[in-house]
Amino acid sequence: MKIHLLYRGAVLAALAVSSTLVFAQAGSLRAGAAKVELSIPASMFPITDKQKFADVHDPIYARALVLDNGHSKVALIVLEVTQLTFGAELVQAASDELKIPAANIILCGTHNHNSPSLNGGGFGQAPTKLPFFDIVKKSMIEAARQANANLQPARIGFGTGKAYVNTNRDQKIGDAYHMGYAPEGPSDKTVAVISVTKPTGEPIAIYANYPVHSVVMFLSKTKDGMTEVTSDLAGWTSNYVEAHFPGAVGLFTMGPAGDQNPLFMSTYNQDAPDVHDEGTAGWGILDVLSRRLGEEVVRVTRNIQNTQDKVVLWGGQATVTCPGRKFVPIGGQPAQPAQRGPNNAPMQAVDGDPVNINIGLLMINDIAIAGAAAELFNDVGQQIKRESIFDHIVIPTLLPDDVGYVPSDLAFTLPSQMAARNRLKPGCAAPALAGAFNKLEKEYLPIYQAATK
Amino acid sequence: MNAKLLDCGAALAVLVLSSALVSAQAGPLRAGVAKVDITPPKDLFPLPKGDDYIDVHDPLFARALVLDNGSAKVVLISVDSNGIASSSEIVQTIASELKIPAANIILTETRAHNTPTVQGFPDVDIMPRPPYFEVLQKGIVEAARQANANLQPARVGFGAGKAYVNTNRDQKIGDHYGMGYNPDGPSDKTVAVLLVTKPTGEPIAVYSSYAVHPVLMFRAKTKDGKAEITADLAGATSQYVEEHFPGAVALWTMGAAGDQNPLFMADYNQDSPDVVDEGSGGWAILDVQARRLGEEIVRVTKTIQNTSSSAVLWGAQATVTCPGQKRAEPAQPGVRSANVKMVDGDPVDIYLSLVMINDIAVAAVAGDVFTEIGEHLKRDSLFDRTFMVTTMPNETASILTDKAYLLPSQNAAGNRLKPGCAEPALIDGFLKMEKSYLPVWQAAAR
Repeated sequence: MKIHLLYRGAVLAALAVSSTLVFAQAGSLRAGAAKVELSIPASMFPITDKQKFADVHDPIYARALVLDNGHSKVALIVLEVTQLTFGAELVQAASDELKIPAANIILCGTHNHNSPSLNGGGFGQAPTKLPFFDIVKKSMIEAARQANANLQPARIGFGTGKAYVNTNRDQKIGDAYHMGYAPEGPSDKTVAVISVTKPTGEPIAIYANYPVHSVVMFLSKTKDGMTEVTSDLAGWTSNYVEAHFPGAVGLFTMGPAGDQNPLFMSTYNQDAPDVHDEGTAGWGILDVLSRRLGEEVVRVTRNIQNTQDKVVLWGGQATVTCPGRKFVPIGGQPAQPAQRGPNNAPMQAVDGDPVNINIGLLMINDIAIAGAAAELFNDVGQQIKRESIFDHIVIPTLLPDDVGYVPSDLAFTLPSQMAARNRLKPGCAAPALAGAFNKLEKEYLPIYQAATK
Repeated sequence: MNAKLLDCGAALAVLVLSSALVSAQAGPLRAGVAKVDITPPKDLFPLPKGDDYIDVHDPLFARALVLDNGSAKVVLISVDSNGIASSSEIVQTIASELKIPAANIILTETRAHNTPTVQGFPDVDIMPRPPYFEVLQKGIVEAARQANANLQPARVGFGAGKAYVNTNRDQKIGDHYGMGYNPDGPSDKTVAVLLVTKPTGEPIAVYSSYAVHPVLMFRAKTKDGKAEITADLAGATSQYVEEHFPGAVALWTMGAAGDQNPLFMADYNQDSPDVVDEGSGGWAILDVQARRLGEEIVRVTKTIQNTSSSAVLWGAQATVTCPGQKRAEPAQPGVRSANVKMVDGDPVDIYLSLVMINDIAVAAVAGDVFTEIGEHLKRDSLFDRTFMVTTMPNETASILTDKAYLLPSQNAAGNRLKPGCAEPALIDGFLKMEKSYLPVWQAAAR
């Protein structure tokens, strides 16, 4: 099914919606989970891309959760990498392995900054696959395969809590907004948890979502004057959860965190004049932050009571197209990255190519997994939650081939550092995304009602 | 002036109020500061049993600020210590030396836990004073002396901001409340700053108050399996502020922090089953929180505009007496606070001091006061520019809200104060002192 529509009054947003099924059946849930290390051979080090990595401090993983109800199958896959460039290829590989449509897969990265890049192409250059891409692809396929092979009778439930380890980061330093610390700025503290258990209640998988960048150790020199590969806040939180539920797989996804950093980072005050690298002691900071977040995931998981063993599974996809812009010097020459800077007065915005933002909605009964191929600002995520038909919603971000930051209107007004040169025109993306998820949900609603009648 | 009164409705509280002066004069302000090293010297190591510190990580200081207006003098002192509880003779020594009433001196410790023990609560820990007491006493008196010798023309002002590095610590762990993490519990985030500058605006002293226990490195094994001496969050914050205002002395005081711990500690989850010691990684946890608190003090300091060069200086003391209680049985290890049986005990004296600098009220308590009581004082105070500092000498008890007795907070276990009295009595004590000062100030500032 495809529909095109005009949206949101004056601002033009085109929405292309494609869902896989116009009907669905409830069936007995079976679930399988697996994790496979994204193993980087020692011979590859030191790795130089966006950072210079000396070594692996702690392993990074691909984690997969497959859910099956006898009629359909969906997969949730999380990769502890920065960004899923060549993501369409990864989704296709998972789709081929599991023999399910791409719309039934939500694949995302944790936005872990301390992992090697998949893409060797520089800014404005054609993307080039790096050797690490093949490692990621193979491990992801293996995780999906193992999860699918592990299917066993299961129950599923949802719960939320709060954790205080993130902070808004749009801080006014001097005369412009920078990557800093804005404790009173917008910041959703919600920890959302989907718990999949055995019929006896022991967790098989915990799919958690929280809005924070996994950048505690970003730029921090911890070995031989270089950084190290680590799974950072997302991975350490998963590890904590897995340590508390032996045998379970803890999948951690980044919520709408375009403007959310960890409360404390090893490179303290990233953009402030008195930036300071805590070095190896930064692992202590990472540990206490991930424990606190992990504790809340564990607490919420333990409190989830209303689990179900009959489920409807459904997936839909859409592409939201918003007007774009680009920045050129007043004189008409194309802007170079080096010319970008806060309040760079000689630049001006002119119309640019439209921007396509891919989204995916996976429904498990009334639990909505609303994924966006973007780094959504926190307010954008809160708008999606407010406008959702379903109370039980999680918003994983950084799906494959993401468009980068999607600032809120407030962030465009500041302007946030991430909005000042953004290729999206203000006014479109936030309402268009909330509206697009809403449309997908409305497609699902009668299907769900019919299936559970 | 002396007044005795019954107060506090049903609960009996006796208030003895003694203020130094019933009249005062405004005069041109002069201020002096000093900072004296009170780190235990190498020859005192190993320290006595219980102080199992292998080394000194960072130095301890006594910091003093003296304010003088030609007719009166007040002294504010902050000490990197956890042990001046029954050392009121230090105040007497300073009073004699500077020829001012004891009521004009507020001496507080920062309560940094990784410092040598000097002496515990009176009547509870009777023990001889260790050799370190000498170092501490001399250092504090010397700081006051040097500050008094450094007097120079000055201006004074006040500002407040917010920092998010503390948290309520009364956490329900299993079936009882332990020392943990309670992020949705009461927690005052206010950073209060009393600023003293040169006439040209450069800070001479930054006297700040924030509701947090400096216990970030408490119990953390950072060197050879042992703990080290550190001034902790208090010292690291002061150091940060002093680095940003070269030549100034930053006196840090603990606000109403009886139930407030740092957001993150090196010894993570102190009372939880999964306690973990971050070891030397704890220094980074300390550094980032001290920076964040220090940044806010620096920010507030820089925004203070309305300073005055003329000041009325005034001090008063009061003693609040509340009904006491004691354990029916001696303390048993492992017995939870909810299960401690209490019977009537001796009345408990709580010592209060109020130092007024124009309309800036420095309200000091010889106790570890729960955060809501500090907020209560600010709400009820006659002065907008009021802040509480705690842990003066002669501390008698942890001062809890009635709600904290009901939990019961870990600090309620065996607490010598009966519920129902201390909070209203303490507020009343400060208000009575403020009311004594108000006409004095109005007359002086006319």
